[in-house]
Amino acid sequence: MRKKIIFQFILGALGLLVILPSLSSAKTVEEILADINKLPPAERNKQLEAGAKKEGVLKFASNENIELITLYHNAFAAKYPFLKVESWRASGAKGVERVVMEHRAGKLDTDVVAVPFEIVGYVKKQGVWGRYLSPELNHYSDQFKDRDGYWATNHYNIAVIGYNTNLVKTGEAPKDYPDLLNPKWKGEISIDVEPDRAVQGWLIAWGEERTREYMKALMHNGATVRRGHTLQTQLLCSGELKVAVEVYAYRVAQLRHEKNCPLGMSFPNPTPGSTGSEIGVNKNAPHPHAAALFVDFVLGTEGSKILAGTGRIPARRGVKGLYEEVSNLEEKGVNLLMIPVEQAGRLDPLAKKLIEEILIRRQF
Amino acid sequence: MRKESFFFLIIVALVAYLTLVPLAMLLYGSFKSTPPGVAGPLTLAHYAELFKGWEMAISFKNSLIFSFWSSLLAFLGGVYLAWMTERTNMASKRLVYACIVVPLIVPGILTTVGWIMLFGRRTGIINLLARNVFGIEQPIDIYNMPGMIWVFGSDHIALSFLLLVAAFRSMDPALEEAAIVAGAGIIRTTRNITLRILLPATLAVWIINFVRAIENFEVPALIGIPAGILVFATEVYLATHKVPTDFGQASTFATVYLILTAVGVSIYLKATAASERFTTITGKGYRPAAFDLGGWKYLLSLLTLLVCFVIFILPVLTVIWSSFLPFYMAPSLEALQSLTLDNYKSLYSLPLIKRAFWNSFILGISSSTIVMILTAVAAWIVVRTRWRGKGLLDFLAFSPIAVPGLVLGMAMIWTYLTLPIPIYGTIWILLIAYTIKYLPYGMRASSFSMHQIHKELEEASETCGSSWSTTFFRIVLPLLLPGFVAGWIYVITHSFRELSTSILLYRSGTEVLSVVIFELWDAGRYPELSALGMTLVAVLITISGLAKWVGGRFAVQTV
Repeated sequence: MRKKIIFQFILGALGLLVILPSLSSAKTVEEILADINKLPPAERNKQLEAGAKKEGVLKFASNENIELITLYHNAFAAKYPFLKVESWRASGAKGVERVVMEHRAGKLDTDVVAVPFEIVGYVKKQGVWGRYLSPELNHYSDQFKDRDGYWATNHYNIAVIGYNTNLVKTGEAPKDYPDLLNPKWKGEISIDVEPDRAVQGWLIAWGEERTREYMKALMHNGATVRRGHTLQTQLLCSGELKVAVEVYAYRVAQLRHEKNCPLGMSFPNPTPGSTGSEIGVNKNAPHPHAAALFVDFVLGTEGSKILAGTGRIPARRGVKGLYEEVSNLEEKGVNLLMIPVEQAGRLDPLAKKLIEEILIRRQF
Repeated sequence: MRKESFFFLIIVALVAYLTLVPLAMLLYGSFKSTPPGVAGPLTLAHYAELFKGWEMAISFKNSLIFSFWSSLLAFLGGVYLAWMTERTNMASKRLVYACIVVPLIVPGILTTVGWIMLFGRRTGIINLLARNVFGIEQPIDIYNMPGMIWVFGSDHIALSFLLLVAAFRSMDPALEEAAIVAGAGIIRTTRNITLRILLPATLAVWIINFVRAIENFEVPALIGIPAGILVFATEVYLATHKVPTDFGQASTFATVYLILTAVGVSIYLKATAASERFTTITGKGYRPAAFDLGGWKYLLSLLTLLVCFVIFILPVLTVIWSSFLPFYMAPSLEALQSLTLDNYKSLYSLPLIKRAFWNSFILGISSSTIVMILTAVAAWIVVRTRWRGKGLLDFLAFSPIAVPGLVLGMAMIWTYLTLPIPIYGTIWILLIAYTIKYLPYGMRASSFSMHQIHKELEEASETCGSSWSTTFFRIVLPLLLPGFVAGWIYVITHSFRELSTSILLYRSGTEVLSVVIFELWDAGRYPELSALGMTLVAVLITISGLAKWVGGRFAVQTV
């Protein structure tokens, strides 16, 4: 008899455990934000702000550099003084893995997470982001936003061949990647240890075999492998390096304008480009209203202008880049190859393999 | 159970908790087929992978070559400087001490950057001198194995010196004097008497340098990768820099580290087994005699100072110089006109700098104090008692040396995300991580000083009726103080540089300086990195100076 009572009690308790969660009316982050999006713009903003005020906190992590994170942080905190803003840099693989580990443990308390283009697929697959369709997305073309509504980006990055104009005359500068195989550059070429954009661009344009052969030929021509795109641009500027295979166009323009560096850049055919840092709302964000406000801010005019102020190339329609020479490139006849985010995720393992084999392990 | 045994057990339990958790995670991870937090079967595949290709054998060989020669360079340099300053009548010893402080405090990443700038193909001072003064056309390249050995080895001479100098200073010179009286020359006496007496100390210094070289990341990353020379540390980097990270492979590498270290520790323990033979501080008063260098005195002093300047000061001067430039340039009129404070201004406009300084300061002071107190007690148990668990305690306290920072960071994340101890995301998790990481260094500093103190002083105290705690705090600790302070300075300076674990554990509000340094390095902002590095050096010099002053006031005065 006693056993029967205990059994019934356990059964009842188990039943309650199953039923209770479904009785609770707690909405998911995706549902909260989808409901708010149904409201007219003015009402929507009012509700978002009211919700954020109650939440009081916004936490975001991004792979952008610390300077840009600080600019976003300060401007957002100034716009919404009722929010306590916390930010940290999720740099490289370590930052992303940490986010994913916290997510798996159900303890990711960062509301908004931004990651580099080649990792977007992995983060999306891990279910870190929830769906959020910011109204600001209307100002972006399709390549800058996820068709399922998980992420978006407010800028893009172009990889060019850089050179020092004191050491290399403009007429003699390498114009395209095959030019770098000319013996006159032997020992004078520098390539980044993580040339993701260039390698992915080659893979798309040339296929695996030609890319592999090209990378080997580059190394046979005495290319040196260095870490850091900005560093290489500075070394070009100081005259330590003559030519670099992959530097960022905006950095070259920036150093030329701000520090009078003797720098030149060639737009190879095709010129590889990628979307910038991809931003999304944590599926289980503790502060969903604040998270939505922040994503709107970054994708909006204010965020885009802050970004453009650092020299980066904005993706939002109507926001101008700081440097003319790296803006509207397609209109200037540059064959721009923007690597689609989905394709970048698929190509990433192969690109990393080639980089490791040829540039790092020197198997050529 | 005796009160002492109970106390010993608590110490063992504490050290075991701190060290076994990451070790267990490490071993478990090396057999796991899936990343942390994802269920999956156990596998031997990562170990099989390790022995699959030649790649690993090459990295293994490179690691051994790099570690052997660079630790030898560091060791020989340290022995030479310690001997010159402590056991000879060389002139300007204070200048040598002043030079030595610099590499102890400047983060390795900055020294490495300094050397890279000095050896720059077109803008490096060394190559400019070689070309313009000596007419050497082919630039001297730093991107090769000798370059790696030079940068790491020369940077670690100071550590060897710091660890050896106390032993040289406090050595009972009776045997040396006897040898001299018996007609042996300076070199023979040094080789046959001095170095033999100091065998455990010197061996431990060599082992520490060897292990540090094995786990060093900056030099293999900044010089090794461009040179196409891969070592074990680069393999860990390659396993962990891609997404999804290969945690299993990284843990397997770390396990191999552990085995290598265990071999090193066993050699060390054998060498120190008969520690009584090497006791150098006894109850007797003595005054170590200095060898007279005779006619060589000034020439050797000048050469020593010149070497110190080139090795310790020149790379740092290069970094200071670049901290005032918009981008690195060799000294010239044009460069002088470009001098600017912009790097310092832009750096200190970042609000997190102040917070990072404060956090690093608090963490540095707390972790170094906790580590040194814990290891002083642990070293006493290991060296002095016949307690059965002492071997285990010694191994446990030394074991974290084999766990790469990154793996420790991952283990800490997973442990404290899982355990119901609410420290994840707080500064406490960093404090625990730092304590674990620096236990081995504290342990070595404490046990080496402990080996040199003869039991007779404690026995005298006990004979007078003092309790264990009175003896420990009144006799042992003051005698240990010079070693304790040296260890403390070592831990605090290194805690300011700790990166691989901090980068995984910091959060908004708990940023530390090394993370900011890394961010600047990662972004290629070397001028700002140099500016931050110089500020850090100034802070650490102040802290170390204060610590030495405090240590000097309370230590037992030498006769």
